[in-house]
Amino acid sequence: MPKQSIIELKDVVKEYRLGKTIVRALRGVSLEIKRGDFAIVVGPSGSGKSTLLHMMGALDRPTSGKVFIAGKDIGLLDDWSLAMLRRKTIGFVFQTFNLVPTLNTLENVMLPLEPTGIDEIEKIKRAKELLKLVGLEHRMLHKPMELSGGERQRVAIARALINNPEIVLADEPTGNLDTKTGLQIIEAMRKLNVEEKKTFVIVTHDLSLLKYGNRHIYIRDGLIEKIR
Amino acid sequence: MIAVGVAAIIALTSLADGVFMDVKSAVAQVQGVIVFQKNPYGPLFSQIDESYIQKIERIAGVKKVHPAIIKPAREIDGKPFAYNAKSIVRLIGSKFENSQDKITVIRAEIIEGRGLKASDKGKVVIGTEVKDQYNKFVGNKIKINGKAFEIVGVYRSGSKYLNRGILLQLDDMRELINFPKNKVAQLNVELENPDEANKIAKLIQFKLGDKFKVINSTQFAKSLANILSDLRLFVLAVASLAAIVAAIGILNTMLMSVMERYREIGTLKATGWTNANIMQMILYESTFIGIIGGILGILFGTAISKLVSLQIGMPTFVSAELLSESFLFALVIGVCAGLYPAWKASRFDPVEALRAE
Ligand SMILES: Nc1ncnc2c1ncn2[C@@H]1O[C@H](COP(=O)(O)OP(=O)(O)O)[C@@H](O)[C@H]1O
Ligand SMILES: [Mg+2]
Repeated sequence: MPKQSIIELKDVVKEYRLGKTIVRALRGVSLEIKRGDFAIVVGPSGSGKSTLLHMMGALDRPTSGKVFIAGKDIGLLDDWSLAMLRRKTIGFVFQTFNLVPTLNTLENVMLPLEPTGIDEIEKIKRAKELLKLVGLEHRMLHKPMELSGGERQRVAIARALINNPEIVLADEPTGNLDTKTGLQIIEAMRKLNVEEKKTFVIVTHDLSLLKYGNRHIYIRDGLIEKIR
Repeated sequence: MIAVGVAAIIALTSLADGVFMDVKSAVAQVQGVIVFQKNPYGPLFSQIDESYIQKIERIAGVKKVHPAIIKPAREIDGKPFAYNAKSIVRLIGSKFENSQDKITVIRAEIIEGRGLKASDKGKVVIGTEVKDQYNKFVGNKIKINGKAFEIVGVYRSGSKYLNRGILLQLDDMRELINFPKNKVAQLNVELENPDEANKIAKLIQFKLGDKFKVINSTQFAKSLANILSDLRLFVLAVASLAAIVAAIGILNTMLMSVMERYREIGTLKATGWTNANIMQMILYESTFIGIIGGILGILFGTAISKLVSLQIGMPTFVSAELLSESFLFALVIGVCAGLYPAWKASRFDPVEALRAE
């Protein structure tokens, strides 16, 4: 049975206006991400990787072309519908972790559930399960400041999974970590990909991560160079 | 910041209310018509011949005329007053007749011992405030301006001011303060029908001529009430201004906090928070600041109000209404001051916010 595509980009152009000049971050990108993929997007800095990831994560709409996420054309959705799509379908992991410094590990993981009607006990139960999954059950009441970089990124991964999304998008998740810790994070994601059947798209400029992916997308100057 | 505004409102308004209530009750105690001598130095130096008592009592509608001399005491039990209004004790000399329970001049009631009899000499009835302050009981002696008197009773009236008084017979009073014989300072006219105060005040003025000043105390109380309610309004305006400045403080704080959390808000949006969710969060925070400010303000304001009342002897009155109004005020300020920052935060572009360093 052929795998279904969960994200599809067709001739996507994204332009940013910087004063009077227009920056073309994506210049006509077409690609497909299939359910269960562990896709690695590589390219030099400034090549449009983050912009591409934001498109795939329904954070922004394309200037032209089409983006389908779980069958929905995001160019046709309003801000509220985009937020709902992100809430239900997508988890984000960032290079700088982006944890709230005043909240502890458990609270940070629960944060995406805050606006939902789910009751507190259920939220805590889910967050605890995920922290166990990423090996942080002994750090639940620590503040981000008290955690190592690798631990912080694990908290961020647990946070990305709390809404039980189909897709996890990671923007340079190893960029602020040493090589060894970075590899551990990638391996943890790979495990979630296999065991939890989550689709991963990981953006990086580190070519050594390519070996973990089942699909490799090379991007340069806002264009796809090759896909393997 | 908002706490300061709310505290200011409570302290000032309670003071205005307190003065208002006390003056009102004090004036209400001496309902009726009061006659002073018209005197270039003011009513404090008023002297009226006792013979006018009968003259006024003959006027129709007048029930009784109570002569009185009311002066502050110089010292009690050897301790002089520093003229700081805080503890001044008023000496109220009048013609007290039959140890009655009710004291018409100041509308008080005897609550311990007895009232003064016409034959009493060297005897006094003290107000509850005096009793408490000097720890006196019926039967004790009290030294007024150096002279010892025996306490035969304790009275209470509706006004704290008037309860800080000592009643004594006119002759004792004259002797004590060296007041001319057969003269009194004022005549309090008790009426058959208090509704006729205006009419009878005019009648007395007409009969006595312009050597005397006749005051209708009900009317006096009314104009006093007007002045005081203006004062309350003014106080409210000043205090509200302070609170509005405080509101701008909250607005500023929230804007700063929202700007500082630019990236954090971008992250929340990425994890599926809607614009409305963000707006709600910021509004909750500013409302929380408002509530905390309101509570602190109420605590501080009430404390200041109590302190003022203890220190300078000014009566203050913190009404439940004032408390709930100022709390609501702080809450509303909190919500309003949060609106703009909340709207601004909800409009952040998540992509921009996530790129920000
Ligand atoms: N909001 C923006 N405003 C202006 N230029 C932008 C904006 N976002 C991205 N760019 C530009 O688009 C190009 C691609 O950026 P980005 O997607 O962040 O690349 P990468 O993540 O591969 O480093 C860069 O030249 C960047 O300067
Ligand atoms: Mg980038």
